[in-house]
Amino acid sequence: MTIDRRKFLGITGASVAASILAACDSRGPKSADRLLNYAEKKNEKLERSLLRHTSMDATISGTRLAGAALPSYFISKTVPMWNDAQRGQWTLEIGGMVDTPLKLTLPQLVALPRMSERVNHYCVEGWTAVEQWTGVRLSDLARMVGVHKGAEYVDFLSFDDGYHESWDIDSAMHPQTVVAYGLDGHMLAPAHGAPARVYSPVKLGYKNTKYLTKIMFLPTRTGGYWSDEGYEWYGGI
Amino acid sequence: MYFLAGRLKRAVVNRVLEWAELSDEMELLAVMQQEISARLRPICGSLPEPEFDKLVREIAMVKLKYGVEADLSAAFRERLTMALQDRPNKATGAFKSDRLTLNES
Repeated sequence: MTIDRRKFLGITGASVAASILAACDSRGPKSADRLLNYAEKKNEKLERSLLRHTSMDATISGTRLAGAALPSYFISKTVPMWNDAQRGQWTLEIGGMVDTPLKLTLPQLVALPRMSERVNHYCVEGWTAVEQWTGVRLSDLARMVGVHKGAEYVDFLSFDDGYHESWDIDSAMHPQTVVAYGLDGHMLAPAHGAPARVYSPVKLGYKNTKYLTKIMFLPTRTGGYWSDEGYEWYGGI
Repeated sequence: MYFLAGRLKRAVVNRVLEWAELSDEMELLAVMQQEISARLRPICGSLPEPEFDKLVREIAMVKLKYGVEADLSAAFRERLTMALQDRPNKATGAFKSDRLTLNES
């Protein structure tokens, strides 16, 4: 009998994930912290070993794009929008443990080698959607800045009221991880993270920081908005 | 005898097709490298030439391996044509696709 990676993850991780994620806005009883931390570590180890960073997400042929049905999400009270008059021109800063830190404007980002991918979006709430993202592979940007060997983590920071999420470097360098500025053939709208966001089908939705301002390559993990609230830090698919 | 001749013929034809496809792949790689180089030059142009070439080569290989270009199927020629059509405008340096929707790989 064979079982694919998603089914295996779904079955074996269900109980662990449910206990960690069921209470979306709560860390649960303090007495459960130790058990939950233990379960999360084991879960992360399993997810890392299964990911292997070679498997590619593929959509079912004929699946329609979610389009306008894709829910928008942000933590600010209103849709975050970059105001050039107040903050100056938007730039994406790429720094940390790198040889050549970069600051890219949106036209500069759009002019870089691009890729488009039609992939699945997996929400921690249980729904999925298919979308077509266009942007620059994060691994290409990493090559451009020259990431140091000791950089094991990447933090994605935003202008959405301090939202950020840090990732393991392997997931960040996956060929389907992209700094996206296009969605379904159009420039990204404010509701979905304009001017640019990170997107990868190997991570749950909440790990994909929208409204990007900084990408920092770091030696240690720095948590994240939801990770610090008790959601699983790894958040892999 | 006829059976063996048929198998031999098929093997030769398959090998020729493989060579043709490999040649196409190299051609596409060269086209991609040209485009990547043009897109990277404004940002990474200050890199020493060997480093810049290495960067271009690595990005092209990833694109070839994991992009839609890796699928060397019936649509291969069409994609190659599309890639060729997306050359930067000699006068302005702009890519045609930058002014269009983003539905291209």
